[in-house]
Amino acid sequence: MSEILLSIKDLRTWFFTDQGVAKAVDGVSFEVREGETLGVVGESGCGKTVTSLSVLGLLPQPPARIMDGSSILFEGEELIGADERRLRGLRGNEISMIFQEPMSSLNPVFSIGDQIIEVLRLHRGLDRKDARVEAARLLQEVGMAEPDRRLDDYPHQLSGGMRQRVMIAMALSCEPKLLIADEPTTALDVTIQAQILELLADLRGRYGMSVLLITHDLGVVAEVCDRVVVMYAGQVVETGDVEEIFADPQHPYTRGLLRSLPSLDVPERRLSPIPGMVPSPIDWPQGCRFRDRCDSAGDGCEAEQSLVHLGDHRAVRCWKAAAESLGGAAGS
Amino acid sequence: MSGRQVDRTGEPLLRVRDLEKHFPVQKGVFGRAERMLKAVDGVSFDIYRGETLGLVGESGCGKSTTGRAILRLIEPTAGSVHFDGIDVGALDRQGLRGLRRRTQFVFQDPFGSLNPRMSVGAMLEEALYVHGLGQPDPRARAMELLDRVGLRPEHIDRYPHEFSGGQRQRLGIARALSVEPDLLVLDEPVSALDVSVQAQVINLLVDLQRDLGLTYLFIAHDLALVEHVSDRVAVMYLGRMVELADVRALYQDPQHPYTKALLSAVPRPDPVGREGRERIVLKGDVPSPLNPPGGCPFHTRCPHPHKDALCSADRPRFEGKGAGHFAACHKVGKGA
Repeated sequence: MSEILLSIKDLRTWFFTDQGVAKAVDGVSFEVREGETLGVVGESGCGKTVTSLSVLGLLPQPPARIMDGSSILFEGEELIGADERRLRGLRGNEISMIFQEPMSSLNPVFSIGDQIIEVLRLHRGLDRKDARVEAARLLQEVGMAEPDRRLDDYPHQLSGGMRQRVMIAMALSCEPKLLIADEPTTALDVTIQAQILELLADLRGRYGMSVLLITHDLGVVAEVCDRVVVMYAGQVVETGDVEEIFADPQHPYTRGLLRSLPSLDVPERRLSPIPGMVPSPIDWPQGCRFRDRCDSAGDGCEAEQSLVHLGDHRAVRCWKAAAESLGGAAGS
Repeated sequence: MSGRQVDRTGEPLLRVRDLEKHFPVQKGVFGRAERMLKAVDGVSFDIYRGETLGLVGESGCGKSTTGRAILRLIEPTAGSVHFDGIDVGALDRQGLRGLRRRTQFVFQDPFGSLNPRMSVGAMLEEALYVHGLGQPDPRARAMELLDRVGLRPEHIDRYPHEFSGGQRQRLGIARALSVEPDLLVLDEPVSALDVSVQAQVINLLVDLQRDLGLTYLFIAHDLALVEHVSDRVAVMYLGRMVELADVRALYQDPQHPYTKALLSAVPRPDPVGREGRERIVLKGDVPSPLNPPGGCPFHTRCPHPHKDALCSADRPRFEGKGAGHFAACHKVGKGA
């Protein structure tokens, strides 16, 4: 098995607001291994984005606070409490991030060439001329036609897909070990999404980097991920290899999510939604946080649930699913 | 969708012919040189009573503009629209108001279309009042509507900000239903919602159609959703319709190369099948509608192996390819 690149242990990122304490991320643990694509999937408010921003130390503190006992190890080095200079050294060099809306991450008053060149000069110490050549090469790398001419374009002159390619080029400029992609294709049309996903898969292979892909789209997860972390209400509720998660989901929430998807391959008139709605992070339900919406909730679910390991890669935060799975395995 | 028959022998409820909507775009410092953005460029279709026509395409293809132009929320530049035999283009203000009682819209962002200062009851009762409905007890009627869309009657005195996204969309639907319309134009009605809640709202729409005999124009970019709710589906590209067919025919046997590419690009929740699946990844972006390619608008990105000079020279007609299947492509046979 490959080495662990990033290890998040018991991460708790809380927000102290006037309305109360929002426990956006509340005890999250998972690992990213070298060369793998790990998908973190969940609905809005589940804490997936806050988790990724915590890794990079990009959350304003206050109102956010990473609580004592949380740990984020990158190649064995603790990132929580690391000084800003060290974090700045990691960001861009070792860990890069791309976001959903590339327009808001690009500076509208500089050409994209200027912005890529700035990164190359800062992080790789290239002079202006070499940096321009390298910037053009990077644009070529991410599949942009006529990269030399494109360097002089401004962000508003590019389409959404092109802008995301520019962001990826910038993220790649220092050949990071880990790329965090937060909903990288959510704002894009489906044919452009296919282009970007293909590009990410291709680059991952060529650069040998790990990808932490954050998304709400189970289809995207199934297309590109090796392993999956499912989040609900600030916690990990299930992890496993992508094939296992889709073929044999254990947690009732994972099952519910998969059932509520309309499928191109099996059209049916009625969908099976999950009843109710996502609870508020200021007031997570007591005990199992999914209990109110769960079709198999019963006695035992009023207790706080812990993540039970079912095997090497497999874990579930549901005592019932764990008992069935482990009981079944013991019996066979 | 499965097992539903729509009667298409009579007159369609909505008949759209050669609809165009061109927006003037000003160029130059003094705004004199005008160019035309052809958002909708000659679109024709019918919708029959009780049926759902899905309208899909990528951003900028003109699907939303089509939805708005047919009911004159924006004035079409050319073309004709008949609703239940009424020539919509010839209606005066009074006539339009009557039309709007029978045709309602539900938009993507329910918060943007709900007045934040009006309670749910006031909002629903206003709609009833304007159209002279809901007598003798409009408040009771408003409560009945809330119940109909899966909200509780005691929600009647709350304000829009007190509701979640899914509930707001239910409110938008309640308001649309308040005037007892025949046709609902649903423009990305669930795109802003989480998957689990999306399914709740879709089921509601399906139930309402069954119970009230509604007709839907369902505009969306999510192909799986559109397949799920539609009886027939139309695909748009750069302001034009490229294919229209029965939902099963369109998804199982797409004819137009664009439809094929679009369907193959949808990520499927099936990690095991991902290696073997044939995927057509289109090159490049959608061209600007300000400067669309001549000939077939898709020819610049078309992966068809027999693409030729005709494709770049001549705009293909949108024509029948057999059994209610229409496509605009030189390379698709006429069929039987």
